[in-house]
This record gives sequence, structure tokens and C-alpha cells, in this order.
Amino acid sequence: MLVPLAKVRIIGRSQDLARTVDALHRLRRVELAPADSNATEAPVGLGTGEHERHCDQLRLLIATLDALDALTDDGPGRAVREQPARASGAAAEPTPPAGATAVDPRAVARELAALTPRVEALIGAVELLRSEQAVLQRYVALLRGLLELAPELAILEERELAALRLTSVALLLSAESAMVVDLLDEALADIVGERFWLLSAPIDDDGIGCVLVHPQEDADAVHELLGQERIRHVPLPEPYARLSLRTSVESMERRLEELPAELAAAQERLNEQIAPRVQAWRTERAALAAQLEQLDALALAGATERTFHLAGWTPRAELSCVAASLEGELGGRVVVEELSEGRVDRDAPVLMRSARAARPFQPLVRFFDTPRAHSVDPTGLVAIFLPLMFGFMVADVAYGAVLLGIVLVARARLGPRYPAFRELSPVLVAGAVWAIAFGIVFGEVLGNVGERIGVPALWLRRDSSDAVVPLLLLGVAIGAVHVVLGLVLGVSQSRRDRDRRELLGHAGTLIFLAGAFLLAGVAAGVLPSAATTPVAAALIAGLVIVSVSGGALGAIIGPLELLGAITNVLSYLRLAAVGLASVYLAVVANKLAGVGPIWIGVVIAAFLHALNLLLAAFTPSVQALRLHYVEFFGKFFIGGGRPFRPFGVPQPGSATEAASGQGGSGIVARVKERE
Amino acid sequence: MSNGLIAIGAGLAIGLSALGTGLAQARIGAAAMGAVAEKPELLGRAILLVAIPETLTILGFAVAAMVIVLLKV
Repeated sequence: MLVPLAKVRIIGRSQDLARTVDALHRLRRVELAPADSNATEAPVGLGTGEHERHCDQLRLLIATLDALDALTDDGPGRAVREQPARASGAAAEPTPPAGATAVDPRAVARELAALTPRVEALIGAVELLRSEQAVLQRYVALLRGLLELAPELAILEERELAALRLTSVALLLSAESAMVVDLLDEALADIVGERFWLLSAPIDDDGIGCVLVHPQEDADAVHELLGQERIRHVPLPEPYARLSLRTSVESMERRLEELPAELAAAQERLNEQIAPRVQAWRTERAALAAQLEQLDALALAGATERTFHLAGWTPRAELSCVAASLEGELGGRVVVEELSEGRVDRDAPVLMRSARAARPFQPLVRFFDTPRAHSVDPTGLVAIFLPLMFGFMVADVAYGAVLLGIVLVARARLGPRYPAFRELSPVLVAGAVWAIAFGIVFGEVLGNVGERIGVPALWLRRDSSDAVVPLLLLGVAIGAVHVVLGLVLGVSQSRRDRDRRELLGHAGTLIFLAGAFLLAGVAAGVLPSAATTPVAAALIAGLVIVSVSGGALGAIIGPLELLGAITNVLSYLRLAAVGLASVYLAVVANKLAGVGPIWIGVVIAAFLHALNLLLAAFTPSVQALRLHYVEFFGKFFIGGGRPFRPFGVPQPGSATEAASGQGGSGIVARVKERE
Repeated sequence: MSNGLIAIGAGLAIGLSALGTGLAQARIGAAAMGAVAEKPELLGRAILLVAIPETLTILGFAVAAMVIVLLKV
């Protein structure tokens, strides 16, 4: 159901505005809205440069604290953060201290200003080591490849090369221009004649590695040539520049062995600066975000010379509680009055509240759309019909039990890490339980294995040819109930909205469908032929009413609407169709199990049953959802609602998003670079 | 022979309707995914639009089932 919300106005003295906003922030029960009155002025101080600067400073501090928090991801901070989340089973949201003003932004700024240079230096050191590690790994791979090209070089040390008065140069050429090797060869021949040695081979997808050995006296000419375009010289890092290729590789490998320990030590020094303060920073960050939200909220207030007024929404049942809390905190100097008494405001925010069993189905409704204020919330009905339809389609004890087991195990293992899965898992559990229940009704265990082992069917066996018509009729019957229920809700909704045209349309469709069902009864011989006249009257009356409701084009639209309603009911045939497809596949799997050697049969049957189970998990879910979204919701659902967002309840990414746009400090930039 | 013709008739009923659904879904799906790429919040509506032509296949299935059940000798 949708919780009735009341629009309220809070009036008080100008000097109490900040305290009122602070109290509302802590109360977390009111969504603030722009004050819609003839306010003559903005609240004192709002819109001034100082106000803007204050907001910007808070955003910058929040961004910096977020950046520092992000640094703890690969250090002890991660453990600190994950512990409370594991303990509570949910991500811990730091609570701002009582009174967001308890944290002084200037003190936080001073602390960060003192800490930032140290942290930046440490981040720089860590980054430098990481960069060196990455560069050396790349060089070692490259040089190893080059040494394989010239094994003779691998055995020469730098003093031997020096004795021979030779110099070796490593080059990396773009793989896209393979011709450049030949061009380089020609160019070198022009400059130094035959006194050089050039070897090349592809190193990776991006480049061709080359080793060039030449006399020392030609070094200047060679370097001048290599400085030209299309040739990328691979300058070795300074400590390795004067060494032979072989010694360079060995030195680099030694350095690579040392680097992890140095990196860990640097990271540890960084963590020592951050970890002890991280919990305090999270609390401060929450307080600063609260202050920022409160400053933003001031813009929503209206004011006169001596008074302010705020507008907002709160659950009607909590109105008295909100009024009492505010009056208690501010000593009776504010007045809370309801504005929406006796009025229907369709622009109001929407707060969906369902029974505990139906709550997991709320996201499925919201996935379609958020219901508009003062409309029908179908969550409860979805909770009844969706698992039932799923179970009717799967209808197999074994498949249902396996699905149930998988969902329960997955929830136990993945639930803490994936809250969305944990939230939705009761939907799957309910579907699996219904699948077992319908499996018992049809006596189905892995298709017709149940029949073979003597499991009795309470109604009929779906794999028999006699079952097709009853199953199709049952599907249509479920459809009729569902669509009629949707139309009844549509009638109720249009009455509430005082929409005569919609009301006539839904009522006419209901009458027409009643006539159509009765006609089917007469045709099937269930009803006497004397019923034909009232049936025809119902059909004609329904057609006329729907056509009248359609206005000028009613004569065309009316019959199409009615045809659509009939099609909607027939659409529920898919319940039987998908179920029959599932059972036939299971029967085929069982038949193939008896063909050929037993082990091949078992493998084929297991594969087909696994495939069927996979299909059983997805197809019925999609089809059941589709029946709800298209056939059911289409009759009454009015979307476009805006979720109720109480002031003070952290909204995903709100403060962070605003802060992240600020950029600013070096730490923020460095952390963004790392990410 | 008679059973063969019934089977062919049933197959045509479900096959042609599924083909029609596929053609319709291909076009609707492409357009819907384009819309979702622009506005991800339209995903629910997009699924709804893509799902609409499926009824055609279900009606084809109903006709095929009736052909088999009612005409079977």
C-alpha cells in the first residue's frame, strides 16, 4: 500500500531557521519541498558569496575525506570497514553526531591541511615504486626477448663490449609499420656502412623489438638517425643505461625482487598515517555531509523579515510525532500545520509500505515504475500471483527442490556481498515452493520419472495428451481472474481520480468480458442456450459503453480495446504453453536416457535436465513478470511517482556526487588518478 | 497421411506465428535498446514493449494445440 503523506508547513522565527533545519535533519521523517508561498525574501545569508564559499569548502572537505577513505582499500582500513558490515550483515552507514554542527569544518580543514602534505608525499612514494615496478617488468620482458634474438650478446658483459669498442641499443618499433625495419637497415647502411648488426622480432601485439650493435665511434650518427620519426628508442632507466643488455636484465630482475618489500613498507607507512583516523573521519564526513545538506535545505525555505517557513511531506500517521519533536526541541517556538487536509495532491512523493512477506516484491514493481501518489500499489497482489504463476509453469517437485536449494545456498553465501540478491531471494523461494506444490498436483518428478516410480497425480499428468485442453483452460481461467481483478482496480482508481471516461472504459470492458465468458459457457454447453439473449445483451452493452468512452473515435477504438482485453486473457495461455514445453523436454531427456549405453544415457539426461532447469529458472520468471507488467498493470497502474526521500536520510551518492565534482585538493586528484 | 497433415498444419500455426513475433521483436528490441541506452530508467518499459508481440506465438500455440486435439482421428 502507499502510505498517506501529509503536506506540512513549518513556521517559526528567522533566528530559529538553522536549528529547525538541524532538528528536521536528525528527525529523518520529513521530505522538504520548496516553500510555495508569497515569500518576499530569501533567508538571511542565503545566496551570498559567503554562503557559497561555505558550501564549496564543505564539498572540498568531503571530497578529501572520501579520497583518504579510498586509500584504505588496500590496507588495514579495508578490514576496519568490512568488519562492521560483516557483523551487521549490511554496509555500515556512519551516523552523524547528534547535532551536525558538533563537527567544526575549520578544525577538520586544519587537520587535513597538516596531514595532506605527508600523505601526498607517501602516496607519491608508493606511486613511484609501483611505476618503477611496472616499467621494469615491461623492460625485462622486452630485453629478454631481445637477448633471445642475439644469444651472442647474452654472454657478453659490458667490459667485453667496451673492449670490442661496441655499443648495443635496444629499439621498439611500431608493429603497424613493419617496413620500418628495412628502412632502418638501409639508413644505417648509408651512415655506417657494413659496420653494424641489426636484429628484429615481434615482441608483443604492439611492437617489434630490435637490437642494434654498432662501433662506439658511430654512436653520434646512429643516435641522430634514431632521433628521427617512426623509430622509438627504448632508453633504459638511468641506473641501467651504461650496462650491457645482459647485465641490465640481471640488475632489473634483482630490483624487481626487492620492490615488493619496499612497496609493502611504503604502503604500511601510508596506512600508519591514515588507519588510526579513518573511523573518526567517517563520522566527521557524515557530519559535514549533514551540514552541507542543511545549507542546501535553507534554499528551500521562504522568509519574511522576521519569520521563516518550510514546506515538506511527512507520513500522515507521524505528523503529530514530528510536530511534538520540533516543538519540544525548539521550546514551542515553531508551528507545524497540515496543508493537504482533504486534498488530493498527485505530485506528492510516494512511500510504499508492504507487509513483510510482500516486501521483496516491491523492487519488481518499482522496476516497472513507481506508482503515482494516490494510486493503487500492486505489490501485495504481485506477491500472490507472481510465485503462483511461476510455480504453475515449472510444476516439478525435483526442479522446485533444486531451485529452492540453490537459492537458499546462494543466499547464505552471496547474500552478505550482494544485498540486491538477498532482497530478491524470497521471491525465488516463494516461486520454488509453488513449483513443488504444483509438482505434487501433477505428480511430476523430473518429468515423467514421478509416474514411473509411482508418485500419484492429484489432478492430471501434464505429459498425457488429455492434459492439453484442461491446462489451456486453467491458464485462461487464471488470466480471466487476473485481468478482471486488474479491471476492477482500474474502475476503483478511475472513481478515485473522478475520470469518467476511464471509468466507463473499464466498466464496459468488464461487462463485455462477462458476456464473452458466458458465451464461451453457452458454446461449451455448460450454460443453457436460453442464456444467449442476456449474453448478447452484455456483449452489446459492453461494446457501446466502451465506444462511448472513447469519444469521437470511440467507434474505432472501442472494438479494438475489447479485442485487446480478450487477447490479454488469452495471453495467459502461455502459463500452460511454457509448462508443457518444460515437461516435454523433461520427458525427452528421460527417453534419451534409455538409448544406447547406460552411461551415455545418464549423461545426456543429466545435461537435458540441467538445461531444462536453467530454462525453468529464467523463462517462467520473465513470462510471469510480463503477464503482470503488460496484462495486469495495464488495466489500473499509474506510474510516474516520485519516491519519498526524507531529509537527513543519506541518499545514494548525493553528497559524494556533489563533492566529487569539486576536484580541488591534490589528494583527490591523486586518488582519482589511481582509480 | 491425415495425421501428417495435421502435424504440418499445427507446425505451420506455431512456426509462422513465432516467425512473425521474431520479426516484430527484432525491430521493437532494437528501438527499445536504443531508448534504454539514452535513458536507462526506461528499461522496464522497454521489456514491456519487447514482450508485447509474444502473445502472437501463444495464440499460434493455442491454434496448433486445437488443431491437434480437435482434428486428431
